[in-house]
Amino acid sequence: MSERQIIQNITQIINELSAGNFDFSTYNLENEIASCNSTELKELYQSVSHLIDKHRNAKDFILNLSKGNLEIEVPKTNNLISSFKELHSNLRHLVWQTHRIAEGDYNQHIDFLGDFSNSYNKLIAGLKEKQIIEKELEASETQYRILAENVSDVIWKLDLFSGRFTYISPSIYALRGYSVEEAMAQTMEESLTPESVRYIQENLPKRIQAFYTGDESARAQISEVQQPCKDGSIIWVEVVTTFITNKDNKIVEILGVSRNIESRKKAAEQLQLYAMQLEELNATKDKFFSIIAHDLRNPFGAIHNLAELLLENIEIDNKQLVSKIAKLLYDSSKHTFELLQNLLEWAKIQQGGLNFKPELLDLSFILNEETETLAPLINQKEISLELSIPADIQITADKYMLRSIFRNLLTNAVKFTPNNGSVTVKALNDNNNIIIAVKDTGIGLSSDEQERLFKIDRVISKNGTNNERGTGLGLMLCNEFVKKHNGEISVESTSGKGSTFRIVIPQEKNTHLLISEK
Amino acid sequence: MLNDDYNFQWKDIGDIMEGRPNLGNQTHVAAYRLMQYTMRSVLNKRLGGKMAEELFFEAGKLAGEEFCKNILDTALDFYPFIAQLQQKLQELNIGILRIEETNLETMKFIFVLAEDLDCSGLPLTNETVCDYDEGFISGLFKAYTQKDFDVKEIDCWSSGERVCRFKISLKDE
Repeated sequence: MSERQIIQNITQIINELSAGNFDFSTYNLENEIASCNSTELKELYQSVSHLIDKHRNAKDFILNLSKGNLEIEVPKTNNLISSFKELHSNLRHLVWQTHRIAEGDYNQHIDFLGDFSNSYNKLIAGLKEKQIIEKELEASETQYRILAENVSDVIWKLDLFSGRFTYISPSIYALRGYSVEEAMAQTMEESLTPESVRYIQENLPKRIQAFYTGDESARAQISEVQQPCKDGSIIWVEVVTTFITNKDNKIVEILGVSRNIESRKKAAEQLQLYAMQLEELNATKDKFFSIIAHDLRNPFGAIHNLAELLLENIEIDNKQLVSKIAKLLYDSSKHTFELLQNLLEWAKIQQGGLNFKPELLDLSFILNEETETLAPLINQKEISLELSIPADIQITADKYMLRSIFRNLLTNAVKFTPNNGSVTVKALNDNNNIIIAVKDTGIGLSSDEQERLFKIDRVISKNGTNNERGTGLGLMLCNEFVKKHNGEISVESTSGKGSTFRIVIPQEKNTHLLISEK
Repeated sequence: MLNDDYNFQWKDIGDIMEGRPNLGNQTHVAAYRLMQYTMRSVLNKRLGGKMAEELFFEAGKLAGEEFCKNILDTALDFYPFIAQLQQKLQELNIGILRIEETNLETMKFIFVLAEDLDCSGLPLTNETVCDYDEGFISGLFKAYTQKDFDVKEIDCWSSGERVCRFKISLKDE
């Protein structure tokens, strides 16, 4: 091939290269150039070959780049494609940045690719902001969770629509003995006593209605409810509930904080008990003053006058009148003595100075003795007295107290029974409970009077059928003494027809005391 | 500066704002390059190109270590540290650092510096010239990890690329 033909071929190759054709195998100039003597032609061919290589490398590189293949070898020292290589580098950096963003690293900023960069940077800024908010939210949630899980109060949330708990803090275990899972499985109704459920069912709808009618104060409320514990016990709980509303101000949840107030309740009950005891003590004091002021003053006044009258009549030797005055004097002093005796016993009880000393007693013997002391009055009023006491009945009781009980019940029966009436005393042992009933055909008690019996602050004081004086203290004593025996006293009465006082003294406990004492 | 044992300290940079109240902290890139390439010219002639290259690497490494200790927060985790490095390099108009690869398990990285202070816009010489940058990156990694790293520039503006690409790997012990 001549040099001219070689030059023509090289020119055609350059033209084809310009046209984008890279296949020059048909030219096969290698051997022709090797046998050519022109150095210039050889250098020209070498430069063209080098240019072809660069173009081929460039074409392969750009083709791969256009296909998104960034893991390609970058052609060295090929400044034909230096801009593409910069693009390749930028894209690789973009890929790396995207990987970092996917890992949650939003410290990325793109400063190439024009509008795309602006949008991408905005996207990253949005993600970064969201990440900050999420972190703050997470920190806040963690803080509240720590608080909720460590306070002794129980924090809970109840979905108003389903009526189910959506959250209960772990302190529920300390409050009610249930695990969080167990408590969450309960409905609101199951978590409360029936009485507290009724309270909630009555009050919650009213409160919701008040809230929806604009009463903002109904949003939060403090209530006291009772809740069953896992061990079966019932506890008092103070619950602060707050309505949680959605954007439409509709109540969706109730947030509650529950606190055990069992000790507070007990303290309040104890205070109430103390208040009642103080009230009772105050009534006792008033009764004392009343007795001293009236019940003692009158008989002492009568004794004083009778004694004065007696002195005057002794001088004139009027035996009949003196005898009558002496009788009256005896009656007055006897009544006053009885009154003082009861007053003394009462005072001893109040001061805790009366010791309870049970012993085994013959009931019949005790009752007979007590009725004998009343014989003059019974005879005077011509009252029929019937004792129906089994001979073998025995009672474990404090003799002193038992006598006082019988003396007062019998005295009252005789006192309030008109002339020619009857008093019946019956006793029996019913299943180790000694029951003693004193029945009279007296004036009886109204239902109001029956209610006021045995109560110190509402004690009844009225005179007998023959105007016998009374203070009402006797029945109070009976009540106190029966209580000492763990017994009960009751009355059945019809006004105008008579009364039956019944006492029940259980033997088991008193026998136990007797044995213990021995 | 006649002291043979002179050791660079950050304070040797001086109080620029006090010293240049009117001209301030900015200068032309040409001034920087004038100093670097005249220095390289003298060193190449006195000590040979290879030795000059090594000296530039060594000086760059010292600069990288001091830069890291005085400008960057080495207590940061790796990726926040890199983000901070990118920000500082851009603030100081040194270059735009882009990352192509990071592998914390193998400790292999590919960093790219665009608009590099040292070389961007230089005439084509078909060779890499950023020896100082290689040393600078090596010094940064040394100060941050307390370990030695090999840094090799594989693409450079001077070799016909548009960016400088550095291959970084943990030095074989």
